[in-house]
Amino acid sequence: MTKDFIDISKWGSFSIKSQEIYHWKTDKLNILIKKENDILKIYHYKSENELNIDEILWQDWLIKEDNDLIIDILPSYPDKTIVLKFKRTFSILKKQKKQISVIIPIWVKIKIKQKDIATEILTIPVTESFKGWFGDLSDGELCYYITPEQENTNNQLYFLKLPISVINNSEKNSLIIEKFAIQPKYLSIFENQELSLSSDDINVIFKSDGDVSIAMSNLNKKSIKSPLKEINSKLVEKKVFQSINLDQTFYTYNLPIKK
Amino acid sequence: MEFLKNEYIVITIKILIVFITGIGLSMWLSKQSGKFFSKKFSPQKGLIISKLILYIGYVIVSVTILRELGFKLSALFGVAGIAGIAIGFASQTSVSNIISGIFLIMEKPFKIDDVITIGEVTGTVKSIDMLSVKVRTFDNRFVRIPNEKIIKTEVTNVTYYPIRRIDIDISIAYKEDINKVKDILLDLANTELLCLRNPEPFVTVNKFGNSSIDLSLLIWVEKTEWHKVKNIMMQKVKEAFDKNNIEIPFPHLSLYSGLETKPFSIKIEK
Repeated sequence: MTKDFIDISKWGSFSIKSQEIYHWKTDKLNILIKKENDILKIYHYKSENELNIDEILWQDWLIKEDNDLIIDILPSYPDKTIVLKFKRTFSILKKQKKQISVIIPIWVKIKIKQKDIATEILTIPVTESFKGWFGDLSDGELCYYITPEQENTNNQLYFLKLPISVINNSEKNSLIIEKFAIQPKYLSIFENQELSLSSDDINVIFKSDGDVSIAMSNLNKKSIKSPLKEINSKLVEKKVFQSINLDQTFYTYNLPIKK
Repeated sequence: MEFLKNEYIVITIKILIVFITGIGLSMWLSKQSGKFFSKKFSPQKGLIISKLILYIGYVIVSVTILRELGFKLSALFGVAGIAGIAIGFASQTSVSNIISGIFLIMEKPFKIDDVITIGEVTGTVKSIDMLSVKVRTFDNRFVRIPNEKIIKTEVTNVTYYPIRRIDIDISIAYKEDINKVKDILLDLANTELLCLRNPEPFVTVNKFGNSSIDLSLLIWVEKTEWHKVKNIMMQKVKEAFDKNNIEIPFPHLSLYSGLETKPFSIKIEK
């Protein structure tokens, strides 16, 4: 069924010609893109679902009738804060550092470019994520709850690596980590030589009770999407505005950047 | 005579100028302040302030015109005072509603598009006005609730917080393994994308009933998904119980006659 489609399964820009069907796929998500005169049609479905091309309910976008329609297909973070909920809590002894390298599923962002004007039209998760509440019941935030996977997951091109270092600078207490909340709008996405994706290096520094800071660095990485680049900085120190001490478990939360 | 005519013309022109500019200015000020306060605070506050400015403008224009016509305002205020008392008695309910409306706007127990329950009415708030709150029920009825009633009675704002809990009451037969049932229920909640991961789903054993053990499955969802998830989960619970041969009992009644442990005999006659 899919042999007549033009395969575009990678990140980047693609020129879309009328009447052709373009296919972007991972092992979990398929996206079909088609242009008919001044209408751009997109359909996405899960890989386990069978495709019947005659029964597709396309989503339509009215565009300027133009021969050179360029589509950008880029990796993206989710539209909500991500909570990394670890399968097991872990402790970091005082004056110790622990590297945690986890991977999370990526979202796919589709933009159309016409006459140098780029318009974002759709963001689709490669895999659906569970949601959960972070914070107090009356004053918190709805987030994506992701149980980070180990790095050996198949098809890593469509996952994103979060290199996290947790440093316990406290001279008194061990640090027990159960979950992190990370606001993705302050993170960049980088592409490595093997085409895999990663975020900034995230350094969580615990100093004393309730005093946690998060620093990010993005040295020597090729950026695909970089809000940090916009603020012209390679290292951003951010103070934590929400830090809850609950039975010796510390929840960290990163702050909007204050210049 | 000529002098009098001229004087009348001057007064008429004055009155017309006061009327047109006064009413125009009042309406313009009311509209602008309404826009400003709606943006700055809330549409309800904007509406009240704009109406207040409009009415004050009308009063000022009326008083100015009456003075131009030669009425003695002291006498007029005296009459207005007496009339005010009479009108006050007659419009007690309306005034009470207006004051209640002001308290409602200040207290903000709900806003437009919230889902509220007042008495037996549950629906979406469509407007909060000076005299009443207009609600559209889920079966598409329009309900006008006087502000005074809202102040006096208990109001539940169903959508005040972004997440809500669904309590699904389930009864199982006494022969069933409670732990197995708990596992089945939690597995259902943990695999449904619309159920939140935090707060975590939970199963409670509520009581030993006459014919059943009564449990509750407690799951948290986004407020907009409450009805949808409840429906999905009720169906999934039934399907999972059928698949795992878990019995949902109906009331059983045992009748004894004579000895406590010995059932009485039944004779069927042809």
